[in-house]
Amino acid sequence: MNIPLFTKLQKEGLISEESLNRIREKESRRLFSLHWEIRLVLYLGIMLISGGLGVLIYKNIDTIGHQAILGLIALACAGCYFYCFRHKNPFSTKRVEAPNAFFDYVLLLASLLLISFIGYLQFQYTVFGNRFGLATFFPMIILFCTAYYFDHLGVLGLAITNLAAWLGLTVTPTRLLSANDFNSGSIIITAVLLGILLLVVGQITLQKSFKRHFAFTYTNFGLHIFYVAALAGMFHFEGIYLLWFAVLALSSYLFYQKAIREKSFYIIVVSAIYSYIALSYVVIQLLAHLNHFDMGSIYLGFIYFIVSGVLFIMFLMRSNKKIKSNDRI
Amino acid sequence: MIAYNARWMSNLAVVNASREAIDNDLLSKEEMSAVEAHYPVGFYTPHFVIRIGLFLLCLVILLFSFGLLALLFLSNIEHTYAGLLLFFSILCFFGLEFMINRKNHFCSGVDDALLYVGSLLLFVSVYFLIHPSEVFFLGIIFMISLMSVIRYADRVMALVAFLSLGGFLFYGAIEFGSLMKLIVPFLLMTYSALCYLFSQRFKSLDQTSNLSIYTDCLEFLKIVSLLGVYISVNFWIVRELSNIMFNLQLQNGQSIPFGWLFWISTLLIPAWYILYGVKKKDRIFLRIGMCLVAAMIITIRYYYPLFGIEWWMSAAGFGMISASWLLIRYLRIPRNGFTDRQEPGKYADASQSESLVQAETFSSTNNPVDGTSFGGGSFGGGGSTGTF
Repeated sequence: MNIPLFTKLQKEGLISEESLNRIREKESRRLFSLHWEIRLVLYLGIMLISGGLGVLIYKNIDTIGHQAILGLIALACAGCYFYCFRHKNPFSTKRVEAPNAFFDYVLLLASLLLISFIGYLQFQYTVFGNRFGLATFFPMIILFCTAYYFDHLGVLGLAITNLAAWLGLTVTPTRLLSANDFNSGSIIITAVLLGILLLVVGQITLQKSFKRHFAFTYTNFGLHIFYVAALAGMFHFEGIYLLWFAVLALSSYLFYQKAIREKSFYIIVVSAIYSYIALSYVVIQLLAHLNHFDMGSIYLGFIYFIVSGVLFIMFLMRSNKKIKSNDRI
Repeated sequence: MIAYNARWMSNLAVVNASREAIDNDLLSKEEMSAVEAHYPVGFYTPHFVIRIGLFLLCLVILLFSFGLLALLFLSNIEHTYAGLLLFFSILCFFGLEFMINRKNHFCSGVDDALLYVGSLLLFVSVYFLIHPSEVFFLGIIFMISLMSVIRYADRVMALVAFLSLGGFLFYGAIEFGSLMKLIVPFLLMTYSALCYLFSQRFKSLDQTSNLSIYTDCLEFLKIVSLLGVYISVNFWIVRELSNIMFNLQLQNGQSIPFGWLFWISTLLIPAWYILYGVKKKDRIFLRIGMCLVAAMIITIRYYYPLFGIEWWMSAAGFGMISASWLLIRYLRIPRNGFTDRQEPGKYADASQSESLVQAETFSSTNNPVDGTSFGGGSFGGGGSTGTF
């Protein structure tokens, strides 16, 4: 900390002598935290070793044999879970701190190994036959239990992506758009329902105050899945796109209220941008419908984008003012 | 010189320092509000997420405004486009000045968008208007971006200025013949090192005069110049770039003149950064050093692929896990001023983003419709990230 600055503030009578001394004291025995650097190295290390060992096993599958590998994975998985049961802090409906630095990673590893184990079993021996759903259903249940029992946000994220996979969707953040076939009506409906489900669960989590800090993960996944699916629905079901737009408008209004209530800048911006896309689509459709793309409607379209952009900026600035009192993500 | 209210900018630095103190429970609420009352900041700076939203919307507005302008001149666009670009870029700068002076915007997303679009269009229009040579064009970019840095204290503009002057030196030097081509990496290294020294020198000036207007820019310059030092003498960069630029037509396994010298710098600089960062307790040196170790390993592996990539990954992973395990054990009690404990206040909500990263990198998205997959799904990590 900047000692000369605080000395100056003290001379101006803005802060007390005590505070200055406290700051001096703190500065003199200030520690250099390596927390995030070490975590990053640890995390990358786990990624590298899991990838590397995976390829190693894959290449040497003929010499090792499937049973041996399955046994090895099962053993490692059981070992990791055993470690977590031994060292965990008692369960609580609030946030539970990890007992040590490695606990979270061991738990993550255990969950990953479990998924690998079941996936491997299904791939090699098709234990679940043709009912592929079961192969994702079981890990999903175990992942949700793990996430709640040991209090792990990362495993909760894995569980949610598994829930989506069970329903036939891919929802990892960067592949939400590319990996799903949003030209199929049933996938769109499923995704919309999944998004609503996650949002409702997030809301219940908040209201019942049961693992309150999980709410953001649910809401975040739900928000994006819902909006992307609803937009896809609007583009896909051309005949009734105005109906979809009405649904989007209504939900945007609900999100706005939720954001104001929870003082969340993030929800405001995300829902504003998705709504902007929806609104622009409708306006372009209407313009095309009216004039069949003559010069007049093109001019109108450009003017629409400029005016609506300004209006949305004003909206965001006003919302910012409204919730400025308390900063949060 | 600076477009923003300089008084407010230095007040902002004071307020931020006090906020850090209150995060550490070193100040009382009353003292904080006294400081805020005595050092008023009148800027309009919205929350970071809102800033992103405003930035995107502003880009949309600018894009369509320019489109509308172009539509008006559609009949003879091929003669007027360069002039239109220039005109629109000037409009952007006028808008920028207006938002800053009248609306007190500061890091609001609106000023960022106007500055970037205005500068980009200015570069492009200069290119179309006078069709300059590379050296000349880079020189013009440097002048424009330097002026932008001085007037708007923007970090991206500082990066552009750093890169364009480097490019100017590069293209200027290689015109002097083959000897210059040999020493151009060292020239660029010296240039980066000078930029680093400049950032350090200027930062102390900035702080003693209690202005702290350019602190962020100088900090950023420090980061890019430290990276620049390494990039200019990394073996892979030098070999491949001189191969392409100077048509050396090197065969596989063939080295460049003074290749051994570049190997020394490739290996030594990351280690030196880390040691220096630890010694001086400088986070920037430390983090850059860590990144460069990865770059160093990838460079070595590129030319000496002795084992399969999976062996390297496993070995590196094992090394990193054991190193962090040892460090965490070692730093359980603070030693030599280092600790493993988190600093209070900062990154308090990082666990949320951490969980998102985990869902992204590790999730096994074996889509049940296609049947469960073995490769990508089971051993998610390495495969799905695409780092290697």
